[in-house]
Amino acid sequence: MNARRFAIAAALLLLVGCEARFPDEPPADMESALTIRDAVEEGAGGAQAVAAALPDPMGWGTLKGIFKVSGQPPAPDPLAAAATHQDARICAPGGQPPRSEEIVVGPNGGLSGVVVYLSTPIPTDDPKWLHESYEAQRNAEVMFDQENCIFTTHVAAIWTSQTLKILNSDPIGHNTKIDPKGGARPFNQTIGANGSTTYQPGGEERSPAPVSCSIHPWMKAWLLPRDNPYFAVTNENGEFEIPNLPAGVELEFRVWQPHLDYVDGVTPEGSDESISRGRVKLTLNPDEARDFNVTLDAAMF
Amino acid sequence: MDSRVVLFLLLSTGFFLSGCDSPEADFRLDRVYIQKTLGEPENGEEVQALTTQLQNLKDVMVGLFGTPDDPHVPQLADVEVGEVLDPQLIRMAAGPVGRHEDGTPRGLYREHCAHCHGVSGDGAGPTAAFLNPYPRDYRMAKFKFKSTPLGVKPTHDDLRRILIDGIPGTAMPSFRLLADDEIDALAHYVKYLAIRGEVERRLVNLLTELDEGEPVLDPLVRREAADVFQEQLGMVRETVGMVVGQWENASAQVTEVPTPPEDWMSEESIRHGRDLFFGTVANCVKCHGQLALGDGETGDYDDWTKEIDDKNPALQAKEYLALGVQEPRILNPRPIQPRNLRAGIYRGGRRPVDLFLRVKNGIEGTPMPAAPATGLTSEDIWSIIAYVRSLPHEPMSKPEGHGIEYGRERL
Repeated sequence: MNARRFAIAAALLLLVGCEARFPDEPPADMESALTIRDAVEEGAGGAQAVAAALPDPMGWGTLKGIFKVSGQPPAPDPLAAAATHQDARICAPGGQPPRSEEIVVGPNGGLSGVVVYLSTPIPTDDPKWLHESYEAQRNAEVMFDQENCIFTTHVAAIWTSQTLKILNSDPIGHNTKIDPKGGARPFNQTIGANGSTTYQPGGEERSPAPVSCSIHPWMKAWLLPRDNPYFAVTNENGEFEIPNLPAGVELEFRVWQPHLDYVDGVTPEGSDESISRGRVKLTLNPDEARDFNVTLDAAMF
Repeated sequence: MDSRVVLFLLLSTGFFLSGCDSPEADFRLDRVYIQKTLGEPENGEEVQALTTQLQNLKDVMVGLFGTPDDPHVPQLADVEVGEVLDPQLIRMAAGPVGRHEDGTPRGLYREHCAHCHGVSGDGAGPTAAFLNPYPRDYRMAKFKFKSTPLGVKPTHDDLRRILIDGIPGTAMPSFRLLADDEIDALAHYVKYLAIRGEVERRLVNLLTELDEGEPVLDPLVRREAADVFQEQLGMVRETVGMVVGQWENASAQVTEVPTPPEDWMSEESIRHGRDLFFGTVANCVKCHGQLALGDGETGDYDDWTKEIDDKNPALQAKEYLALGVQEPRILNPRPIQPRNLRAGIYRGGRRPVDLFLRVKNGIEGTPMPAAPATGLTSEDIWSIIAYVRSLPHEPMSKPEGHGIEYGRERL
């Protein structure tokens, strides 16, 4: 009797366990596969036509706001490996290892390192879509520094026409390794003590790419190359601002944070649309400065 | 009942249930990447949506590239796929081992490669777990030993070279005894698996761009929403074209190797190379270690292992392994070892030109970085190579000039 009860319990447990399991790989449906093959091969052309179908924007608007954390987020982990590393003298001054910067919350609860960026593909060579104020930054150099074996530029975004200047402010060598998975170039180069190098992304990414140093494997940063300049990273107070966005058209934005990845299931103050898997859609009115204030519960981290 | 009788019954039942045929060879989906990119489902509804997406992805992949027994090279109007992937040669390498009706060989990949590299090219064939290093997983389309810089695909000749020479210090043997066209066939098939794998990964990235649960290229969608279907077709064509294009352009981007100076092997050059090796510009010592034994920084992983989880591959792998050994196929992660430069074994080849390419370009998929953009000339690199080549001949107990203390002083 006991054995039977056990068997039923086990079966139930299995069923419950299976409910949200990652599904198994199905066998291919050959008929469907061949239909797809014919469709792919019978025509030509990529996905360019899509952006052209957008309606023309009317004027410009600004998106700005603050990201805050309510409650006490977990204390950042000490990166203990730094204290015993061959370069500990530089990497853990006074024997104190640095702390992870995945979650950086300021004294007023502001969350830094959140990236907000336009994800709707736009024709950036069209002055109706790209405000002239951005022209001055088109070929700018964006600084990306490291000191005491920590990337001081922890989360950065860059326009693909810009150049990333990677600095090494340490008296020891580093190497900077960028591992994009979209259109940007991978990179892994030694940077001598107090040296510098440059990186041109060459293409854009859908979400930030990890940046690391192989000599000091705890070092971690993120870099987002985009084909347009409509992006912002929150500062130490959690504030961001993207000025002169195309107004009068529906735009889709992404919201990303190193620890949370795409921010999910949070509603900006005074809005009725929540951020879902990092995405949020909104339409700015001409000359409007839209507030986009988001409070994240500490339990999310 | 007698236990032997029970055993016999069990065995014979098992035999009948399993049948005598081995299952048809199948390209498996890149499960780890899919699971990592799309995330774990939280409820039954999400499981349902994922099931649909996996089915669509599988169908799109078979549509584009066929099956192991019946491979297909996608034909696109604006991309010369045939230049990169020769369908004739791929047919020689694909399928079960044997001969085609006209007498040409068939199944070369399964005969020579699949037991280590796996039918899908996932580097997880039946023997993979017993090897160190593990066989290459082609699906990330990253190759270590090549004549092109980081981010550029290897040339056809780079792949041929690995097949002909093998990789010293690993289980990868030389296939010098195969006929020339058979080597070509295998190189094309490796490209085919790499292109197939990368297209799959990029399609998985696209899945995250669609609305939740939106199917990809589902013929049902074609009937119901023709414009969505057309848009997706464009995305798929663009993806295949982009991936194939990278291979097309590789041979135009080969790194030029300058002729070494005449005295590059001199005592003075070796001494200069040693200074650079321990210095803070080239930084070789940081990973290869004070005695160049490959025991410097040893806590990092290669890109294939980081794929499991870039923070803690070992922990994450345990969770995957706990799901069962079948899928996803995970090999127990090992940290990557910087090369022991005193062994005199160079995986990418021992010719000076091979070593120059490793130092100049770095090694793709590994922590080995490219030489710094400034502060290190080609002559400097030749000196480093001269020093590295001298290391196997130096008594380890009496390292020339400086040992452990030297590096510390330089810090």
